Amino acid sequence: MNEAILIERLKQGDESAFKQIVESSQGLVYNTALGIVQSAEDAEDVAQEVFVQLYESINSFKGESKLTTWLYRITISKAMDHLRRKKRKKRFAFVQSLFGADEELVHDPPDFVHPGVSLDNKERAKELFRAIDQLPPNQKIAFTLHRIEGLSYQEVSAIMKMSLASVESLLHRARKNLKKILETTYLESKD
Amino acid sequence: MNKQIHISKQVDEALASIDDIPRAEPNPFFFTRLQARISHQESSFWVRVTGILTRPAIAAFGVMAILMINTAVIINKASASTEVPEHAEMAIADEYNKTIAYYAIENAQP
Repeated sequence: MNEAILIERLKQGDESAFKQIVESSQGLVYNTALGIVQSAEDAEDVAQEVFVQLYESINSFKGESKLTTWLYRITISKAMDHLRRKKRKKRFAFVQSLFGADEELVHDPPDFVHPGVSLDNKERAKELFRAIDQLPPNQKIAFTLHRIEGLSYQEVSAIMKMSLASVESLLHRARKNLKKILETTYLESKD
Repeated sequence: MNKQIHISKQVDEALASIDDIPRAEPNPFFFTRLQARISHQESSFWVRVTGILTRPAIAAFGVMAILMINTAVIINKASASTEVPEHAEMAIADEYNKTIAYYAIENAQP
């Protein structure tokens, strides 16, 4: 069904329109969130927050961009907020533990691997995702959208509201940084 | 040299490990869980109240109201402390006159 008609119906509170939108875009939202937060449980949480926001603020959607572009932007924003909250929680628990409080330290979960990675690539992918997690925010977002979501440079530039040249530069730097991090990892593991 | 080549190969393999990976999907019945979350949020009174109170216009109005009340209280208090009530002035004057009269009587020459 035409996107504009679906959006109009959703603005009028049509539940079936909402269901259709969710079912057609839950994959892109979940996959993008997963690439950024690197946890299936957290990605599901983020994905739900995205659709709750869509449901509550559809009337503010002016149609200046595609609905999927809007969804990608909300997903990135919610996923990055989630990462910041997690970091804060970890820092707070650590400080509390210094003062003898009974708070349990928030430990890092086991290494993340995207479920779509083949078995023979799993070990390499684990190392890559650990490296992606260390990238600066914009590089992480651009890399996730391009390599994990499979979007073109043009699509990434529309979502991130950047010029094509800026996206190219961002991805070039991301790749350079990833190589540097991976080289260090492999050098240290040889020692 | 061989070590460097080996590490370079490993790096390339790592970067290529996510080539053409299929999109991950959420667990089944995602929409059902989403509906439950939305219903729960809608029925929670405090969530609704917080939602209203945290709207930028309402929050800004609340802050302005508190500032105005505080300002009014400060101004009122400041002007009250510099004024002496009229009846207090007269009482002081009365007391002064009595004191003068008493002094005059006490010190009157025979």
